[in-house]
Amino acid sequence: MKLFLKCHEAAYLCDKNQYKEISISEKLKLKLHLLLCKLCNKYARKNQKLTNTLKAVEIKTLNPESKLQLKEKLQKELADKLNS
Amino acid sequence: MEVLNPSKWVDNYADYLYNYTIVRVNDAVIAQDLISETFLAGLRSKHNFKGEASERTWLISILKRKIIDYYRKKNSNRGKAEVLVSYKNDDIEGNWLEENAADLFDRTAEDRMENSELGLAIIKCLNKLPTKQGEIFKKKTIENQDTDVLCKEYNITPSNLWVIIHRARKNLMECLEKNWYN
Repeated sequence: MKLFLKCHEAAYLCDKNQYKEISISEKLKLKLHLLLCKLCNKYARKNQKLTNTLKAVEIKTLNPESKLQLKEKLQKELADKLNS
Repeated sequence: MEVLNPSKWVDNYADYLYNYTIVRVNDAVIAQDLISETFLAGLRSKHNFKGEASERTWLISILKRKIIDYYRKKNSNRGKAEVLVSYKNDDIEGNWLEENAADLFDRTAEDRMENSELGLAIIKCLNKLPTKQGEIFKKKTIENQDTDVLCKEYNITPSNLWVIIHRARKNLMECLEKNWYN
């Protein structure tokens, strides 16, 4: 890949960087682009803020099995209601 | 006017209710039970829904009562009212008064509450994402799943995946900007 990135390429690397999935050379190119491009710089900062926020709050998701169980319970109750 | 759609409740609200409950009861199993009871109670009192509040607000109002009932029962099992002040460790001698007074300035509980509210705001935003986009984003970001694994599961290429993640992140930034940071 060339030294100077297009904005959409920078955005792509910036997203991957939130998950620590870019190489060192990609990181350097990204840094260079962010120095030169105000808009991407703004996006990168917002992106980082989102990552930090998501890390800070520790969202918990109900595991798929529990959700399935819940769905089955609801379904059964709904069916019983219809029959009664 | 809002209408109830119980077959979508689990997909739309289970995570939201779960996060709401877990900070209040601090036990995953109990939280699940309370949510299940809430959904069933919701079904049984469907006719009481007047469509003034949103479906979610209505379910939360039922859940709140379930949580209160849970604490009532727990306390009556113990045979006495809950004592809110804890004297920490009785064996430690010294300034218990000052130790407890210091709690007034301990912001961790408050922070935890604020964090949980932010968590709920995020889940609200996550629920607004298109189904597949939301699913993939959650798996990638919250459950930390591998890119390769996700690509296989959804039968997409890595660049497809990153486009989806990009859209999801942009949507979330916008949504949070609107609903939380302001």
